[in-house]
Amino acid sequence: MKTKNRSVKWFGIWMMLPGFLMIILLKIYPIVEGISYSFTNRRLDRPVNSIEFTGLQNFISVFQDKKILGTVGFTLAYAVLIVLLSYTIGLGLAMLLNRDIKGRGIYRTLILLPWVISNTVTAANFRWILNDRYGIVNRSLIQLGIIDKPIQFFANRDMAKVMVISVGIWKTIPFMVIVILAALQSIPLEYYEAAEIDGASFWGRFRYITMPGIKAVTVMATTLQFIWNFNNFESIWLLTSGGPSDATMTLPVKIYEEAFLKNKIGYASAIAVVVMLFMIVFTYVRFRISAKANKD
Amino acid sequence: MKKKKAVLVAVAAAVTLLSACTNGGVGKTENVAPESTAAGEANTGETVTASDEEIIVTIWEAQWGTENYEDALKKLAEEATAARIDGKNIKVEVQCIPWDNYYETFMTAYTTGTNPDIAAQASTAPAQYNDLGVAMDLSSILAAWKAETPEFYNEIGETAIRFEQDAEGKQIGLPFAIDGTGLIYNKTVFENAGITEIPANYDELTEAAAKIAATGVTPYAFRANHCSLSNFLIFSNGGYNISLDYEILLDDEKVIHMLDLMQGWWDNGYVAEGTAGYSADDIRKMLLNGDVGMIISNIPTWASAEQRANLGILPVPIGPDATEETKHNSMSYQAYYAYNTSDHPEETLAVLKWWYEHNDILYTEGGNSTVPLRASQFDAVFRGDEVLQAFFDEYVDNNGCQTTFVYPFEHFETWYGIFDGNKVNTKALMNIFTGKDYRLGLEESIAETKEIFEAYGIGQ
Amino acid sequence: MTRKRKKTSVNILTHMVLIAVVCVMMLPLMSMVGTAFTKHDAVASSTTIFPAPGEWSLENFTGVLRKTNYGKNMIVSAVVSVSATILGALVSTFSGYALSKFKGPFYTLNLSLMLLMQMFPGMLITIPLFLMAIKLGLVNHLSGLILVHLGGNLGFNLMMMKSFYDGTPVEIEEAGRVDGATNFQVFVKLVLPLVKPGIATISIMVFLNSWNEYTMSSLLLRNNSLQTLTVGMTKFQSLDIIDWGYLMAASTLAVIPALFFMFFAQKYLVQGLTSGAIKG
Repeated sequence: MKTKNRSVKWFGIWMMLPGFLMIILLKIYPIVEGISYSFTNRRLDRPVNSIEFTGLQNFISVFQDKKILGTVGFTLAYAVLIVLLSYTIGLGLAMLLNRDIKGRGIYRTLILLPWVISNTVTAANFRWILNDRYGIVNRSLIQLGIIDKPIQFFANRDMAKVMVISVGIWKTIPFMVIVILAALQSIPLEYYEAAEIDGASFWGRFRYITMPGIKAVTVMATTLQFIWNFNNFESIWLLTSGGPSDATMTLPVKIYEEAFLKNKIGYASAIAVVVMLFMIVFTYVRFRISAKANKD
Repeated sequence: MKKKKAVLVAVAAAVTLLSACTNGGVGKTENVAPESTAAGEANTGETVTASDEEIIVTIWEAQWGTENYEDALKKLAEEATAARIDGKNIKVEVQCIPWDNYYETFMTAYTTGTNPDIAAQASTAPAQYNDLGVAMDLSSILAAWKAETPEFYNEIGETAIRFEQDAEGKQIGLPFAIDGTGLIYNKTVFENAGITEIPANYDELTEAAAKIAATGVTPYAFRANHCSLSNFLIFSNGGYNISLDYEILLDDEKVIHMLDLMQGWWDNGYVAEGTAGYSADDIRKMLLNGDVGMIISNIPTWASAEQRANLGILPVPIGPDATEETKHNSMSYQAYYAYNTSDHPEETLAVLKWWYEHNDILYTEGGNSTVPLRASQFDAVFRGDEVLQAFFDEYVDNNGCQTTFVYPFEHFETWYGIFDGNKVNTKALMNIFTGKDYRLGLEESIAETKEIFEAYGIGQ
Repeated sequence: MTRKRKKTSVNILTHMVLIAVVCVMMLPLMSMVGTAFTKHDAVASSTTIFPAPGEWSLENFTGVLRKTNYGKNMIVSAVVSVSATILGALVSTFSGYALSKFKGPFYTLNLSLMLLMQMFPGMLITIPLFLMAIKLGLVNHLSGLILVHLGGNLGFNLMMMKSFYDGTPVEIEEAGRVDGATNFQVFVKLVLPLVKPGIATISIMVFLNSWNEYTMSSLLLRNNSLQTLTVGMTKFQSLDIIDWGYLMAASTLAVIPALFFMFFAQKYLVQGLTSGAIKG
């Protein structure tokens, strides 16, 4: 019996090993390296032996950057607005799809599409339809008389911000719809029926049955999407490269620019470390809040 | 059953990985075992001796042309191979590198030792790789031309040759083309606006803009997010970015006057609203469709011959602080360079010389969008096209008005590449086009330039 | 009576809203397909989503596949994605089992690391990964990118498989062991079949993430002959001359696998999201 237990034990370790190695190689080791870069003045275009230890200098520079506050602000706004709006719209759509109507599957399939399309295709598409003179969106809006001058989605600082956020919402709605729908479908019908018999209004049913039922999913989905969108680089980079005039600059875009365009790997890593610290604080706070909520 | 499947999967994975490993990485020159009579070799019927080793020389060109560029490159490479350059069995292999992330492509090739022998990419490259110590000295090629075909050599011009030398006079690049922008206008739009005389300075351009705007057409559109616009304006006013003793002139009087002028144009609605977000492609389309009167763009080989009939070229305008003599235009040379890490330096030089002499096809079939530097090549490629000739005469010809974008520096230096590549001097203009104060943009530009100087140990 | 009519009218309203929403959300994609099928020279002047009758053409597709090496790019993407999927699925399938069935400091360590991983900004990992790849000589080798891609969604996949394994009864394994099966046989013959849906799900996710990935692909695979399609697509934007017809055709080709999974394997995609969601 002892030998059997031991062999099982080893089996577990062997099975775990591939995952463990991948985690270390592809995530932990790079992170440690990345953090170490942030304390140096490493550059892409300088040989490795010229790297010097600079202590906290990079971090000080990060906070001395006059534009950093704006960048952080927009990154937050970007993530928060995408999550809020895609959740709200997703909730509405999920509730509609929860009804027993024909063709539900087709709607669901089509709504899922934006999520599986790559960022390069997305960016190409939106640049095409949002062009100020020849894009279909402006042309239609002008023809319908809704606006009389084309909207400058790429040249106007405010509209560019609206645009990248809208594209983000477009990509996130499918995720929200699917997970909320799944949660909705797991709420027993009897609850609703009982409530209707008791004379509860639509809002009453919503508040006391629907919302608690989807609470867990809501928390998970919003947290995940907040983190993903906060860290999102490709989508914005391919659309505007952070422009015009840094209007759509977010932290991930800034990190890429500093690292690969200005060759300042040390500085870029410092910014990334700051982002990571923020993420840790955020996750911790969210954890405490949900732990407290669970206690009640 | 399941176990067999698992093993099968594992084997498939291993095979995939192995094939992937052997698949990757092209570029290092290799010595291939001697082959008897190379297939496709021309006519002569000479017996090839067994010691005729095949030497491979690789060339990487960034995608200078349309999607046909790769084909044109391959054709030229085949020609080069068949030509038995220097009587040797040299196989020329070529690759077309997309512009997307091209900087990283070449950088990682260099750091992993998989770089080609010859390359043609950004104008910053020869200086950059010379800094890293791997640029081959190409003076022997120039010397050969000077001695054997002096006309050919003279066509290249001293300015271009010096631009591609380093401070010690080593020839690090072979300039073959000009990358520059000029004023191109739509004849119909100008006619409809009643503009009868070619505007020669900015006052006249402002007048013209008012006339065009009166007809309901947007007068001007630019590609603002690129150094070309900023340089065009500053240089036409006789100014430049950085002086020879590294004084930063980004907020010099001459620059301020141009910025004020552009601010005026913007406030009066003479500049298209989407300018801050336009790509070169966008404004060209607008010009061809008659939706704008004039743009600043590269030589109009991007228009068909039919479309060109309706386009015209305006001369470099005289800036408010300049005269016909002191106005400059800024352009850049594109050059071939070679790596001294090549296994076959002699053959590399020979191939490069041949390639340079025979690259017409890259223009005629590949759609290379640069302007041939030598007048005779220009003639051969763009035979008799009026509009293109006008562009060449005004913006390419070394008639003393033309200066490189690093003026007053004679040689190109790496730090300037960073300055240009990171669009450091575009911030003020971009601010104008997005409704912010251009002075803030100037501050940023100056700060960033100082940072670059510090990083490269200059001017301290 | 009124109840039923109310229900029907609400249903009609529901349909209308859904159709409107779907139309708006599908606009970019419809425009893409429409432009892809437009005659090449008519693209620049087209004003509608779909080409006018008589302007339908396949020339963008033939142009993309014949004149450029985009076809090759697609093959490279396929090789990378399939390899990453097989390997990634293997890793998560094996290790997910271990995470679920075993207790001890090693496993708690892994779980904690996985939690920590969620908080790492992608960018902080990208730079060192890139430099590491250079050092190991994995640039311009398919294996480099495959390695990076199989780690895509690693945390998510491990968690997903773990939760699937959590749902398999321990009794089956015990019974198997009593019958004299080895540990591996118990795993493969008894447990694995129960989590097939999970494997399908993570496979699809790894594949799509790899197929659609841009940043690492553009940094690690630089050779002309060795680019994935996300990078290869950028060749239609040479020096700011954007060939929209070709670009849209290339994009349409690029979304085919995604569409395939959408229509034929939606169940797994959805399942993946939801079981992760519900287990929190």
